[in-house]
Amino acid sequence: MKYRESVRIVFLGGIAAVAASLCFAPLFAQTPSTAALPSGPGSLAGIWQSGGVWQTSITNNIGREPLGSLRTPERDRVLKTIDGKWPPLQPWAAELLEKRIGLSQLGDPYLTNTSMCLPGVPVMMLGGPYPIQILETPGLVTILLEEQNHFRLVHMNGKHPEDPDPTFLGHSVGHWEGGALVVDTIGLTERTSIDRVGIPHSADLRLIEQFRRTGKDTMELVISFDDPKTFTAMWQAKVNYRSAAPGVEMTEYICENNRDIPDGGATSR
Amino acid sequence: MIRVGFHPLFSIALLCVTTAALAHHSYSMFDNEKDQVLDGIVKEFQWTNPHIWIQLMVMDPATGKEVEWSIESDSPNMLKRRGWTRKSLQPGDKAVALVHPQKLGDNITTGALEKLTVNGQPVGAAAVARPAEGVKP
Repeated sequence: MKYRESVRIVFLGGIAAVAASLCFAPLFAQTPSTAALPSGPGSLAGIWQSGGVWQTSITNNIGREPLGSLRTPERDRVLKTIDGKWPPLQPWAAELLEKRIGLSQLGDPYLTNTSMCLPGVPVMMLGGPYPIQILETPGLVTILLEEQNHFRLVHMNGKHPEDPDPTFLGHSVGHWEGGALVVDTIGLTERTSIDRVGIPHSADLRLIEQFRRTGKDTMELVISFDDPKTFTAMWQAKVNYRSAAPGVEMTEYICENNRDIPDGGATSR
Repeated sequence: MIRVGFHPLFSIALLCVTTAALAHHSYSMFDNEKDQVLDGIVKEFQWTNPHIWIQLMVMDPATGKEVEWSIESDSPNMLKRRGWTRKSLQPGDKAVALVHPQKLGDNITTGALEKLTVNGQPVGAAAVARPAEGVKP
């Protein structure tokens, strides 16, 4: 399938899903849990936890966490598509990822941006286990990232600059669509990777993130990756978030002692 | 050399730390198929980001000399939510750590922490009869 075709299908699929949800909304409205589902502006504010932490019960807190076994092969850690498939990589990207996996298996893992204490949007939104905090204020949604204490600004109903400088967090605009927050991000430097293994991307990467509440305490984030230089088709990944327990606060995370990289991180910032 | 295998101190409340949720960097620099038990005295506990480090003095029975190991685990943020504190280890404490040693290098004395007891007691979430802070059961 050609890239543009796939984009079109994803787009049309989205329209069909929205149309279907509107058609069947009265049926679903009978369900108490659906009726109570928070949606739209104000529904996302709070502290959210993804990854292993909230999925850890007290029993398996003694031992390895389900998502975190150190013995999981590097290949299995590669971010998969929403239906569990390998990302649709262009040949150069597939080759580079294989090289990174190979080195990693030898014990010399690729130093991703997060390894060097540098931020990156998809990896920090998808990877967990650090919480994020979403603040909703007029005209702006702010996403605080506990990992390395960074923040993302989503300019609601805003416009991207004509030719944004490539940055680690890019430029984000957002709007509400069917109860979900849709965030469009461009201007991302190619110095970051998509995941913590090392899926590469180009500076043409465009991310469409859809945040929506899925329950009283849960939220899902679906990220669409649009980067024809790196991927043969548009693809999506998903992460589930859960609201943090009462009393949990975002905490400081300053990368002061990065002993795993050659210079201790002194020059990696 | 230092014994590799199961240590009796781990037999009961083997505790722990889950080094697990892999944040920040890959742990593939460590040989995660290899378990190495280190029984020693804490020289220093670095409660720092992006990772905490335990400097552990371990007697090498082969040479009769002390070897200083550097043992890495998660960040304070994550460990605190599992009940750890900056005082979980103190210099002079007796600690038994199960680690995965680094894959590459000569005279390897660096490892990723898998399990830990300090003065015979579990550390963190395993030491308290409640879910770790931040965890919704």
